[in-house]
Amino acid sequence: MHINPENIHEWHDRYLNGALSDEKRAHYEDWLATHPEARREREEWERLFKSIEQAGHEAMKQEIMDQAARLQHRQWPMLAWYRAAAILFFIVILPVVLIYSPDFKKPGTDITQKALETPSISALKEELERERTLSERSTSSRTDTSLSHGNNNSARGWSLGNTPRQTYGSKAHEGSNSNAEFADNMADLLSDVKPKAGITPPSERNRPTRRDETGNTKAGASKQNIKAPVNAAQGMGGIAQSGALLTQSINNNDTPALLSKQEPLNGNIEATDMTEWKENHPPMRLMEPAVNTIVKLTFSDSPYILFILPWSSAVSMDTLDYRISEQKTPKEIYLNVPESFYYEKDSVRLESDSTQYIRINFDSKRTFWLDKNRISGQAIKKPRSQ
Amino acid sequence: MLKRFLLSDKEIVRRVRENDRTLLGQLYIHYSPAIVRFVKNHGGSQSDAEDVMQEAIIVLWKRIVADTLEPRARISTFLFAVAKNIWFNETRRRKRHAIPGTDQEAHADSTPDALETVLSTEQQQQVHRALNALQKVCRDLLLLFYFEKRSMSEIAAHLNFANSNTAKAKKYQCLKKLKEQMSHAH
Repeated sequence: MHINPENIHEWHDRYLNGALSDEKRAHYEDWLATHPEARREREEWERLFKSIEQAGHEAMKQEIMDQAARLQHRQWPMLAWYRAAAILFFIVILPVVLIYSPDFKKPGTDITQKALETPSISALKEELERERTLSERSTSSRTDTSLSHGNNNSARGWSLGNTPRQTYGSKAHEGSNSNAEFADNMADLLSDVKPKAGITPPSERNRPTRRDETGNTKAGASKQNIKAPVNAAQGMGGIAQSGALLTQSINNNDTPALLSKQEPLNGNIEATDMTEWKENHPPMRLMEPAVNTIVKLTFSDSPYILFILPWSSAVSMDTLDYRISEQKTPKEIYLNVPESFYYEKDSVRLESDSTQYIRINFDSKRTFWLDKNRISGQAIKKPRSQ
Repeated sequence: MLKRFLLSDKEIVRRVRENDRTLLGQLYIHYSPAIVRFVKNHGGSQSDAEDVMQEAIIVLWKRIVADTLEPRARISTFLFAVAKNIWFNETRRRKRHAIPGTDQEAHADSTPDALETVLSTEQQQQVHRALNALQKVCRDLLLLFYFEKRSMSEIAAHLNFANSNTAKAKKYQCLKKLKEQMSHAH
């Protein structure tokens, strides 16, 4: 490219930016020697470029400070605390509050929630409180520790501590002397069990009882309102030799709402219960159920259910089945674990292996797991008759 | 973690080449504590330290753009070394000014006269004003070319021109506009 006055600015530009080769630079220098005005023009360009460079330098310094100031504002020390507080709130506190909130519905607990909300349960709670105060008052004056048999229409049932129980009959203890003997043993044992504060079972004194065809007394509503999926009487009746057929149930006429809400268990109670027990039950004393024992299982934080179960009772079985599925947290379960029963392959088994959980099989489909570490067991004592 | 990644050496180089201007503040925040401490320990003030830090970042930026940064050098080390040199030069310059009589003749020979300095400063301010009056594209183009010494193809990529020739033509127009602005102001 030849140098001429039209394109001289481009030559200046290249020269000042060091973009000319040696040959071209020599050519340019020669041309400038003969054109002094072009040399002056180049000096002007040079000053201009230096000024632009200087301006760019200043602009960049300003930009650095602006951005640093902006970032420092973002890194305001208190902001970190606010962030930490927000994280703590949303990740820790809020979920905990939601999970432990009574209004929070966990998936799959709708039945429980509905049941808890029913007025009948509220009434039951009140009744429990009443019973508790009554029992506390009458502890010293308690005299009735006898066991009345199921065939006795006027029976008051087992007396556990100071809370008499309603009795129910079954095939297993019809006119059996050994049953009566065992019942005595049970009564003795159970009378030794001190009722824990807050878990004293409610009395059934004022509840209406009915006789069935065999003359046994049954829970008034349990047979009618609970559509028991299993004919547990067939499975259970022949097994238990105890004859102690006792159930403290709340499935009476005053809780129709609960009873009508039974839903079939679909086999996943195992996982649900394990999780629930793990989450909701504080650690308690280790209990090791053994054969030939009466084991009292106490569940600490259940609101109001007490079961006294001889596992031979169909009614009791249904009731327990129903209540566990419904409430998930029965307050107390008394388990009679005779050796024969323990090893019988039948619909109900209590097993305790080396693992952490005690498994109660209701039938082949339904299993209820109790965490040993979360159950307090008492009265591990052999019945005299065994 | 993210911060560590964003300010890793490779990432810094990549971001400078892509003209990510947000990096400037991050570099300042990240590397300034050590340099500020150094300058303060060697007789400087907070504002001196800030100036040194800014100058060091600019040197780093230009080195990366010109691709003359030693690839094995860690950026933190490079910045600290540059800042150290800048500060020592500055302290030497201050000492020279502080002691009258030393090197006075040589000093008088090397420094431009007052009138020239005033003119130069005035022209710089004029250019600054004229640059600010230009369109943003023009201003960016001129600064990228004359200050950062980026190539025309790079400028074309950053400023979304079709190619380097378009960028070159635009630069010529922008220079003309700048001159016009300066003559108007004059």
